[in-house]
Amino acid sequence: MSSPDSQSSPARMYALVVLCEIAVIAALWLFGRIYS
Amino acid sequence: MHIIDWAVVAAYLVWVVWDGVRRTEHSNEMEGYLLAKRSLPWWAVGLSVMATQLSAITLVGATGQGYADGMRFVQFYFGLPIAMIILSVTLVPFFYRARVYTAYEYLERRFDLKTRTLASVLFLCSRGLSCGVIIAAPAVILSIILGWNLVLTILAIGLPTAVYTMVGGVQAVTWTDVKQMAVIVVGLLAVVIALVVGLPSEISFGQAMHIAGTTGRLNAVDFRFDWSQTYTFWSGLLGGLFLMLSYFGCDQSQVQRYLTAKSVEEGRDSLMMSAFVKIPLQALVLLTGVLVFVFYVFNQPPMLFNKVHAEKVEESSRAAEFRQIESEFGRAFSARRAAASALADAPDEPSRQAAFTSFETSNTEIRGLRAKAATLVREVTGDERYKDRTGDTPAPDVNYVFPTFVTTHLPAGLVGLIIAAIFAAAMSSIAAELNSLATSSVIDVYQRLIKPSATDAHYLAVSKLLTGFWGVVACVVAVYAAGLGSLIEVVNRFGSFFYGSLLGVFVLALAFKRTTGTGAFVGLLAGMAVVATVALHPATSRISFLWHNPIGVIAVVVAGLVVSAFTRPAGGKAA
Repeated sequence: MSSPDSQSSPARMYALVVLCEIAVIAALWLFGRIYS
Repeated sequence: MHIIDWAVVAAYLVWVVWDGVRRTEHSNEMEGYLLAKRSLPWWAVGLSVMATQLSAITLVGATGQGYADGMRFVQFYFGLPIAMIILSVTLVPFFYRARVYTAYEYLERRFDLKTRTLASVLFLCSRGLSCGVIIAAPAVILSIILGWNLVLTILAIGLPTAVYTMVGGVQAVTWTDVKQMAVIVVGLLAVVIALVVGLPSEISFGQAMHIAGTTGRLNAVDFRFDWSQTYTFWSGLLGGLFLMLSYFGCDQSQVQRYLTAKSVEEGRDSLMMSAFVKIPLQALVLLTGVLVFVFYVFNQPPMLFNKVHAEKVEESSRAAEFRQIESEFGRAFSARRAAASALADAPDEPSRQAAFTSFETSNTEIRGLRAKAATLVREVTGDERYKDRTGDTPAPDVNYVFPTFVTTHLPAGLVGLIIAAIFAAAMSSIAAELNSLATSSVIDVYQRLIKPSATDAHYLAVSKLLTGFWGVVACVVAVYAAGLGSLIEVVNRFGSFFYGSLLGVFVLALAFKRTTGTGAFVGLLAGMAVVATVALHPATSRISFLWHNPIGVIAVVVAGLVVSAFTRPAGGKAA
């Protein structure tokens, strides 16, 4: 059976993916606003 | 093309084939040939996943999209990271535990043979044809831009790929994908640097971006909810999510990539690589196209990028009319260039506003002249695709923008590198498809239906033969598809009918224990029928294709559950 650590590690990775996506979308939006 | 460019392209082809055919570790047994004995590291699998997705037409078409319509196409990928998370939690560990070779094997374990066979046959038909299209599309463009023989170009892309895939199996596919991805990224970065360095000395990068921004090309995110708009935040996030779930979870050409990883964790990490990198990479590809647009604000572009069509009009009785439009185009270009310089140098807001108005006027004039030229092409050649526009460019011209820029404005050596990158993008996708087509043919059809109890050596030999067979089919389809633009659309459309529906069957399998084999089978057929109706019926045909995927999933789940309520499960199989 997996240890609590090995279960929380993918969860942290998934959270990081979501945060990065939000940051990238925000950056793309801001880039468009700045230069429009 | 300069001799140096020929040398670069030849060196690339020799290198990739040599590298592919020597990757034969474990290839003397079925699990090694088809799944690398599940031994590959996450980073190699991750790069292979990305290289498989990035075909030549994505590379060339997306830069053209960036030129004509700006960054908004990036929204198509907004559902991808979420899809990767969902797959990492659901299907990836599931496929690993089941020790399957193909995604469709699982459908028999959960439902029945007919559902597995239908799914695999749909995959084989759709991917067998699309593999030809993946070769044909860049071959047509390269043959027109560079004046190469079309059939030889198709063979130059298809044959080396078939050879190394046939000899080395999935090991060859993965390790060549890693190098091909490197060639693509290095090539793209080199073009971006060349474009920035090539800006007029008085124009800074920021001013170039302001010029692109005034035309709306940097508006990457559109939060409006409009069913008919192909690329919005919502269609990308929701429609794209379903498309990516289906592509990465149910399409054997992708499933087979992560089944080669050492463990569930490494398979999951390989998908996480795409989750982190895909959107920024796609933004870079589109930004390259936007920079090509800025380049052509200061350097006169051709009025029509597909020179074959332009030549046909020039040879027709309408040549004088065409030349008249071309000379007006030249004047409008000069006016736009002057306005762009004024816009970049504007010392205050009133002069900026005046320059902006002048830029807008000449830009609108250029758009109108291109539309006139497109109408002329349509009337002379009968090519109805010239009715459509992408941004301010005739739709069929979009794919010719980037290769035209590369071959006419980049220095010798760099041209060869970019042509090699286009080859790399095409070959990496084709190799993965040939490999997965052979796997599904052997595992789902030959071993399951034709010869169930043969030796491992026999199946290995059949796998190699079928890889070669699919390579020949792809080249033959490519030759036919190249001459029939409409066939390419038919193939793409067939794929979109099937994608959401296939995902629906996996949703039924994993989420609804009550689903029966007959329910899943009828659901799959019903889902495809609903999507085809939505796509083709005049009342609903304006709905963007990204929405076809959730519609397909919902149709399959509803039809599957209804039929399951009236049928009994065979053998009491459960999820």
